Amino acid sequence: MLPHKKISILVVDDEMSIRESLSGWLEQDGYEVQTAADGPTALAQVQENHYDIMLLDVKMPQMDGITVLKKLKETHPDTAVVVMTAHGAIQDAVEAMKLGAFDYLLKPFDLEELSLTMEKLVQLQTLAMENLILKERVATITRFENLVGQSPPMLKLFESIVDVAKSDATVLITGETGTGKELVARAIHAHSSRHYSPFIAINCGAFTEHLLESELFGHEKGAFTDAKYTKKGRLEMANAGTLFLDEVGDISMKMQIDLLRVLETREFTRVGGTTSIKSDFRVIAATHQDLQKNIREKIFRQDLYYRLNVIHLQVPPLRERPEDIPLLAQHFLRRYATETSKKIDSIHPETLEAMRRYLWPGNVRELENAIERAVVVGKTRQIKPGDLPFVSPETGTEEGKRLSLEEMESRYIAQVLALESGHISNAAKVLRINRTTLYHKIKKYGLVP
Amino acid sequence: MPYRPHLFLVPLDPVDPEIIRHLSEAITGLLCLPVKVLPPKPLPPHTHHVGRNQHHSTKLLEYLLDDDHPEPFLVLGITAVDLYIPIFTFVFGEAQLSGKAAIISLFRPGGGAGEVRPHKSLFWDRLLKLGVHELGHTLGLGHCRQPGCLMGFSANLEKLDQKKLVFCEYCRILLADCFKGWSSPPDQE
Repeated sequence: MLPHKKISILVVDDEMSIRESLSGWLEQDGYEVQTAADGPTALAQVQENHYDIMLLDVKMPQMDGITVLKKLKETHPDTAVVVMTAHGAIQDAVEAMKLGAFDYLLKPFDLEELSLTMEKLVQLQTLAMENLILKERVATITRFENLVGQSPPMLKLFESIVDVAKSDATVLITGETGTGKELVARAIHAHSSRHYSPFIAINCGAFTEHLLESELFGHEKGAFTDAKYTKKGRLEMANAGTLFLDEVGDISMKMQIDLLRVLETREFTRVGGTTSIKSDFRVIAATHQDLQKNIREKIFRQDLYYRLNVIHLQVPPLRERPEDIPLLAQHFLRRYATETSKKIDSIHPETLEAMRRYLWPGNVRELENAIERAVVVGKTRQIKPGDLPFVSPETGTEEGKRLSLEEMESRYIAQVLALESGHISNAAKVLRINRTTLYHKIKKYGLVP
Repeated sequence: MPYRPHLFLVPLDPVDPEIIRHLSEAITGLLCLPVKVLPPKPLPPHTHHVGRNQHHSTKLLEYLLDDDHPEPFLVLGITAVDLYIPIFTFVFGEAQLSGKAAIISLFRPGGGAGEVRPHKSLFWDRLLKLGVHELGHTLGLGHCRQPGCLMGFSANLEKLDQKKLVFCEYCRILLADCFKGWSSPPDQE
């Protein structure tokens, strides 16, 4: 089985046969592998992509591995490096270790040696990821807040939440990143008969397959090297309550099989255990991915999709409810002004207008971050357009990005159409052009009214 | 829907026919693929590394695919010589992930690297595990971390012997998904 969240590796060696044999074996072992034939190429690739691990040959023409290691550590200290060097060149390995290499391998090496080194590295990466997740969890708890909105799509969503909460059916929430899918799930739980029991959330996309399995099912003492005590999984903790599976579209094929079985039976065993455990929980899943597309691409099981998609709720992106932007902005302003004890209590009308024109690709989360930043950097009682440096008040586009006149026109028409809910006559009035001209421009730019 | 492939067993240089027969019967039972034993092919000299006295397994996979066949096929090469790929000291076998060719060596499972010569039943058991494991790769299965699963990685004979001759339930489901994607050709119905 492949690990769920693939560890990415860059193999750097000037010999093609070595690059190919190493990458072939590592791919079979479930890693995501890219190769580079020399040092400068490797350093260029590191600027473009993130690599967890680099397997680095020492003797290479153009730039030797030691130089590559030095340069890499200046910019990417988190990438773990294993150097590969010939027998008899142990001094290179020693120097590499002094420069921060994680380990070294003497060529040619046994598969067992490579396997053990990779296991150690994966354990290290897993620990780092756990640490990050814990930090994120603490931050989430301190910032929890309810959904905010008064636009028609949000009022419809609130009605659906109340209806859905009455039943015990499985719910699939879809929507772009940052739209507030977890808040919808929490609202369903809060309105349901299970609200006295726990709401247990897990971000499936943030864990390796091994860690996700242990988090969901729990583990028995001694089930694996670090299992020093028996631990309850989220499925068990959610008994009588609600289990929220965030980013369910990111889970591996193996975990999909496990999850399907649990959803069918509500029974499971802890990792390393033999006793079957029953748990009564309601499942709410969420994803920003197009699961139908994933099914067609055979990376998501259709049977699991049907099991999850009993009731479907779609959370609208912020650009489809611009009337909520001032409300949300005021809401976040109150919160962050209180938290930071700053006397900022209003938003300048021009700032609000710029915010309404902006498309907010990161949705509510992006808006929240923008307000938090504006509160931190703001010098007056009012948030001015200049306090939102990434939003240019004149254009509503990303600062510093130069657009052609046609791109500008296309974007502006799209924004007006969105603001007018696709109403052609109203949009034409705002744009001060006739309907026929607007139709021509919509066709020209391939816009959807 | 593509036809279910035939599995061709190809000895590279003559191999004891009893071994080939045993592998053929056991693989048929385990993977439910129609198996056909082809005549031995000579080991090509260009795959031999004189200094290491080993054969380059990746090149042997390409050599196995030199012969074309009209029907869809997988090929498993079986050889008595020791195998390597450049960066590693040795390999028990190699396969193309989601490809057509796999190869296994009898050398180390038979005690050729200075190990104790195993009893015949243990030797056959090892060969079968290696053969089905490598074929599992050609069917799209990666290395598996479920304890005891046949698709688990074995770095040495001890670990190979600890593995069971069964797929874990996940690999079984993924294999079943793979088999569902094939239809039976007229001559297999």
